[in-house]
Parts: sequence; structure tokens; C-alpha cells
Amino acid sequence: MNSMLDDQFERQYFSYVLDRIVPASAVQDPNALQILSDADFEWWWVLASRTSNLLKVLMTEQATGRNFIGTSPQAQAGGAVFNGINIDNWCGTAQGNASFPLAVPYVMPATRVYSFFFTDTSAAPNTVELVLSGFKLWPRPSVQ
Amino acid sequence: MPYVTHQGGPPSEAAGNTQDSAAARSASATQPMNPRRWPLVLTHTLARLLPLHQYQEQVYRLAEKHPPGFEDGFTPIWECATALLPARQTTQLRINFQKKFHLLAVTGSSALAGGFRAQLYDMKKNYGQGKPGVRLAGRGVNFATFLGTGFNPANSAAQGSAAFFLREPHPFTEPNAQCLVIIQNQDITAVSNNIQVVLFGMARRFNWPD
Repeated sequence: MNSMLDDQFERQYFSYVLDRIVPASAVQDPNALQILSDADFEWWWVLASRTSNLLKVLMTEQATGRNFIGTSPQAQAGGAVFNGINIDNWCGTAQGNASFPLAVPYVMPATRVYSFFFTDTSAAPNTVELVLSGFKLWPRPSVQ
Repeated sequence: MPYVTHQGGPPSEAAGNTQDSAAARSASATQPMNPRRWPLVLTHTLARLLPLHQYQEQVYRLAEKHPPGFEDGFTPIWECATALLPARQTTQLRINFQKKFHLLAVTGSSALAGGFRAQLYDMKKNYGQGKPGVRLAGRGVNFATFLGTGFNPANSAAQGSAAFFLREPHPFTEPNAQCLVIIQNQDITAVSNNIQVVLFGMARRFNWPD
């Protein structure tokens, strides 16, 4: 192993999955996804399937309060409340070759909770599966 | 250690944590696909996803300037400009970025088949032409040829997202960086068009490196 390329982690392919039937016309329906306590997670891809694309998403990191999907008040001309990004502007399915690559990975610490808020405008229950794909970071024992 | 402000820039820069040094650390954490600087070889930000054995070096090469990484306090963010426009109407939206925002990809959607045109301005960029502000396209561009999109107005069950990735990240790194988004609805029906333009990039959290 080239020490220049080795960051002392074993990467295990892993996907975090959030399944939710968003009620019809729900506004910012809250859902939580917690990273397992055994290892940090290096997030590379976001994927989702849904019944209707008339669905918006907000994502927040608890503990830090960071919003991953943002806007500014001036940029919200479509309504008084910002309910998020159209889900198809965010990600798609792997089958459609439409999973979204972050290009630069983001490390989600173990046990941290991420909140997802869904807003449906299809007026029908919207079955959503959201997947964060990446790698578990297993620290490699040091070799003497 | 209490937070100390420094003249001439934020404390992280005063401590030597400049954009260049951050990029260098990012480069050391993730090696470039092709360290040799070959002119006329295509580069692509997704080259980081390729194996490190340079199988693809004849095709792709990582950008000269590495995108900032998590180790530098950067996190992904999708900035959304949303507009509800009647036929042929135009609006201007301003997005105020977080610190050191680097634009990596653009996408957008139109609820109506007529679509829209969009133009982006980096309001604080100055390449020595005098007044700050540069446009990112020669004129307003049809969304289908400017922004990737997966939103299919004719088929709400169609899956997909197809963002357009920039060949190299565009930095919005000036203080109080701002993007002006100008949108013109091209649909001529009587129904207002629900339009969204999304700028995906990396921004440094406000309290980095604490």
C-alpha cells in the first residue's frame, strides 16, 4: 500500500436506507436517520425512489444544525415558505443511472442524527425510499 | 482558546489556512488521477471516483485545482432558487452563499413543458475588468442546455436526476459572495410555471476550524 494514499481506514461499502410513506399533501413531514454507532460513514452518493416526483426535501444535520439544502429569502419567489429541493433535482435511482454523486465525500460521524423533511404536493400518499450510499470507515489497527 | 479576530482576514487564513493550502491538503488526501500535467487532456471532477491505478488517465484527469474536501471543513450544500412565473415573465433571485462556496454542479426543473431560460451572475467576482460581477453564460440559456434535470413534467412517475457537473469547480470565495439568478419562463400557457434552479457545491462551515 502506498502510504501516500493510505488514510488508515478500511472502507466497507454500505448504504443507509430511509423508507417512508409520506402522507398526502404533508408539509415538512419529519423523519430521522441515525448513523450507527460502530463506525463513521463516508457519504458519496444519494439515491431515492418515490411514487410521484411532486415531492420536496429538506435535510438537516442535528447536533450542528447544518442545513444541506438552502435558499435565501430573496430566492424564494414561489411562496412564503421554503419546503426544499424537488426530489428529482436532488437525486434519482441507480437503475435510471441517476444517483447523485457528491464528488467530494462527506463524513457523517457515528451516532449522529440527520433529519429529512418531506413535502408532498401530489395529494396522494408518496412512498419514498431514500438511500445514502458510501463507506463505513473502519480504523485499521496500526502495524508495528 | 477564545475566538480571536484578526485584521486582514479570518483567523483561519491568518493561521496559514488559505484556500491554496486547503487544496493542497485535499490533494494529499486524495491523489490526482494523473499527476503529470498533460495539456489537452480532459479533466473531470468525478475523476476522484475512479480507481487510483490511473486506468482512466487517458480519458479523465482531475482538475488542476482540487475541490475542497471534508478535511478542510467543507460540507455539501444544495442552494435552491425557486420561482412561480406566469407566461413569459422574468424574475431575479439572489443567493447569498456560505463561506468559500465552490460550485460543482447545476440542475433545475420546470413544471411545464415550455421550460425556461436562466442566466447566472457571480456578483462579486472580478477578473480585473473593473466593476465586480461576471456572467456565467453569454446570454440566458435554455434550461435543457444549461442545467441538468431529471424532472419530467409529462411523466410524474419517471425517475431520475441528471445534474450537469462543471469541468472544474467555480469558486464563489469572495466575502459575502452572491449569485444572481435570472429566470424567464418560456412556457406560454395560462398556468404559472413552477421553476427551480439548484446550485450544488461545497461550503465551509462558519465556525471552521474550531
